[in-house]
Amino acid sequence: MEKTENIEITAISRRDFLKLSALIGAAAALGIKGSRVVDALEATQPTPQASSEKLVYTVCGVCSGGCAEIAHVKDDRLMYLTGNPDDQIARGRLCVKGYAGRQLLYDPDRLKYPMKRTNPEKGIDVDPKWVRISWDEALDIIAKKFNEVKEKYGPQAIIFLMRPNDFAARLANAIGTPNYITHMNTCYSTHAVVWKATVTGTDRPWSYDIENAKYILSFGWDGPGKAKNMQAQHFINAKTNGARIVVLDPRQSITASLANEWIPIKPGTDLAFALAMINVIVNEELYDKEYVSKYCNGFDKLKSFIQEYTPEWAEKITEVPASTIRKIAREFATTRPAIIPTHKRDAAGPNYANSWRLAHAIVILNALVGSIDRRGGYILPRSFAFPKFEEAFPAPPYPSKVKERIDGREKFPITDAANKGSFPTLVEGIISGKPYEVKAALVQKYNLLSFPNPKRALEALKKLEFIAVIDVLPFEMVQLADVVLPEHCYLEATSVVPRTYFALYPQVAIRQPVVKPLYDTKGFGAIIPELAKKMGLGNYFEGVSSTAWFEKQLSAVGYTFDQLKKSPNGLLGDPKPFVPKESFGTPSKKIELYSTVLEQYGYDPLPAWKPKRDLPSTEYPYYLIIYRPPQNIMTQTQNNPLLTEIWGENHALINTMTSKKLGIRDGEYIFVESRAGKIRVKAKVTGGIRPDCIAIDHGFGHWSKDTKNAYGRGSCDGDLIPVVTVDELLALKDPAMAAMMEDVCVKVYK
Amino acid sequence: MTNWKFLFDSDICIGCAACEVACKIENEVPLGRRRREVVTVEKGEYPNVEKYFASMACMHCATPPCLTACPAKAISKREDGLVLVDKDKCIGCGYCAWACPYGAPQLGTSGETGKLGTMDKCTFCVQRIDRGEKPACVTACTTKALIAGDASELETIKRERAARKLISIT
Repeated sequence: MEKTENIEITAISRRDFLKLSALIGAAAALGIKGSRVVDALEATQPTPQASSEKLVYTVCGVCSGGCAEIAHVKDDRLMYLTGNPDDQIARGRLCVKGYAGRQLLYDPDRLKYPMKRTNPEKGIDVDPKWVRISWDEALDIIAKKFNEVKEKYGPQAIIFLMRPNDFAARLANAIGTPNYITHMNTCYSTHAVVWKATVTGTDRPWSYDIENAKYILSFGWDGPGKAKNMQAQHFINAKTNGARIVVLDPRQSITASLANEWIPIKPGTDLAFALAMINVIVNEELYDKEYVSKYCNGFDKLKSFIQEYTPEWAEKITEVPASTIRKIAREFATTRPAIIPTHKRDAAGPNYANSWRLAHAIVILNALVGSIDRRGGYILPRSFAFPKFEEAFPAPPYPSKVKERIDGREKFPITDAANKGSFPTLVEGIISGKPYEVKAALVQKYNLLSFPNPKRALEALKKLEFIAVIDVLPFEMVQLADVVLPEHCYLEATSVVPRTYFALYPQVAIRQPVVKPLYDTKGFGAIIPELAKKMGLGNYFEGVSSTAWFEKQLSAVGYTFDQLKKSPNGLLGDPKPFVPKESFGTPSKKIELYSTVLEQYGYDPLPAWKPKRDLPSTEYPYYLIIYRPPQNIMTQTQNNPLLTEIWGENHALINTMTSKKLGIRDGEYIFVESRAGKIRVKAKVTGGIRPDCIAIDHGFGHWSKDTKNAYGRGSCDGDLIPVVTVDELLALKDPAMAAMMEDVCVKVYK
Repeated sequence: MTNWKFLFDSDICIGCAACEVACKIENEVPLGRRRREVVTVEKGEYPNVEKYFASMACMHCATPPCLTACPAKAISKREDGLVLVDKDKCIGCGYCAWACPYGAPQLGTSGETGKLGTMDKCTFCVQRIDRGEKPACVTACTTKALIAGDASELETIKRERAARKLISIT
């Protein structure tokens, strides 16, 4: 008993130290009264409740947030999950989806062994007629087919469709295909490109010190409404500490409902609002003069550029009174620390033709109030200096590749440097056979329903001769596979996970199996080298394994993998005081308000006003908005009955006045139709949306009958999103090649 | 003796229903049965509309109307405040549901949490309380909008939160 208490006391004091060390500098400079409301409550490490209960430290895999968690295991069965209190991200809690993650482990519909299809026909309602095969046979089939395609059509005819992964990237390089395609331009390419060009030289930051902000301005950012664990905790702590919160969103998001002020701005006009704010802040000299002069470049150019964008000008575009814009600009600039958080698919995500410009305006606004890499603002990455994979495991020379990619990404040079991709142009590339034919695909955990216009994506994928899919659940992409490789669920996998979604100092967490893998599955890091070997490319993977990679990463920073495995709280990395960065990753080493990188590649160096692409017309009179329910992540969680019991299908949100005009009653089925397609969903009548908007929540419309709980729930919002071509994107001069996932208008009828 | 109570703060609830999920997992509550449910309330008209969430479950009342109403004497209140139902005594009449002002009693037809058709409701995670832990919903709540404790402890927390807000505003 005494021992237990000692452990708990250590945990508390360590956490208090962490809190203090993190806040001391900022508190002195900014007068922050460091406090989290109920922080002391239950902030200790749990102890096993019975001798049969075991605690396993691991990392959640529901989203990319990486919350460290604790699995409570009894008799080799996972009982429940809790957040790890010592983790900078999780702080002892998880989100609703994280808790429900247990259900994924025990989902009866999981892929349990490798399978091959025996029905050559593919499509909706077509039974693939699966046959169980061994791992050996499965990998043999894939290797043989890939080598055939490579021989006959060239290595570029093989595409990799998956998130960035070092092992897979090496295999793609060894094969010699340039077509490693990720989903970035349907997710966050706008933020990534702009932050890279203006601030970081690499990627965008994911860490926001929202809880220490005194003013939070959201351009559609809805972290709390997506139940993002760390963002929700920060937001609520800021709110409880009296921060002023203003939300611009055509829909009353959950963040908006918790805010001091909700401004239902016209969709796609946030850029005009932001420009007018810059105008006021610059002309009234409300910006942080010291920060701007010391750390920013291009202020004079910004000043002359911004003159035409007055609040009166913005009023005409946004329908927000000039006086309101002025008021918010003044409040934002004078209530510091102030932050405009942006995360993935908010107004600055790749939703509209002008979203990348908004992303730039948001960087400028945050910089003007000194909120980049300062407490209460954006926190740039503070991670361990792990070696690069290619340096840790030097490879034999790679074959040369054709330059052109099937998704046309090489025509967008700022995105090209990182490992990015484009879904819609991939689809058009496959269908048109330009610049060349592609024939085979290796897909990992990407769902067909995540594509804009999934029906067109289905046509494209049906054109391929061969698809191998690595996944956990038999969703729609699996239904198109010729061979299926079942992967461990994240609760059965092992990896080293850096802290990114909130990190004030370098820290890593261990992901490790909470129970023995339930089925005949493998980890991704084991599958790829085996496939390479079967393809005759084993020489690229000599000495390469997941474990070897973890060792290389950790040993480079003075740890061992064993040390991480034995860490009493599943974490490594001691708290360090926060030292604000003095230089940035741009050519001038300053934040480039006027971006020389964008200019160099022929893009607007300052975010000049441009409207969104589609505007309401007589035929399609309503703006379409897509949002995310708290209980679902993308198209991945709808087979989880714990979550669908709370949010079981999607709806079309329609304003009360609009519903009366159209004679639509709450709960009745309506059609929503765009120039791309139409869907049937139930109407939900609400006062919490603009009368000229229809909002649909994402993630539903699954048609795979093998995911029994997800099947037939709601409709797919993607059916409404038109596919965009490389030429259209080039004409828009958008460096982020944004897929414009919401830039479309709709009609609604019964 | 502790007098266990929940405290819910709609000002900081994000409506995510983590409480519901944690409750379901901890107590193995079957689908269709909701011992706790997050309810959304919308007020007003566009654009002056307000939206609130409330995490609803048994309030473990001091003088529980369900207890008074129950003809089978199946409902009891422990010394530490927990209101519990004895499923062996319950006749499944549903009078408790009429009496309860919060809609806490659940009368499903499935027998998975007890005898067929008997009343089911939040037990305050009695099994956790008895081993010195707080209810699952409370330890799960992402924003700590739902907390549990002795009534006097909760009053202090509520006052502290209110005071902090007052001081921040001024």
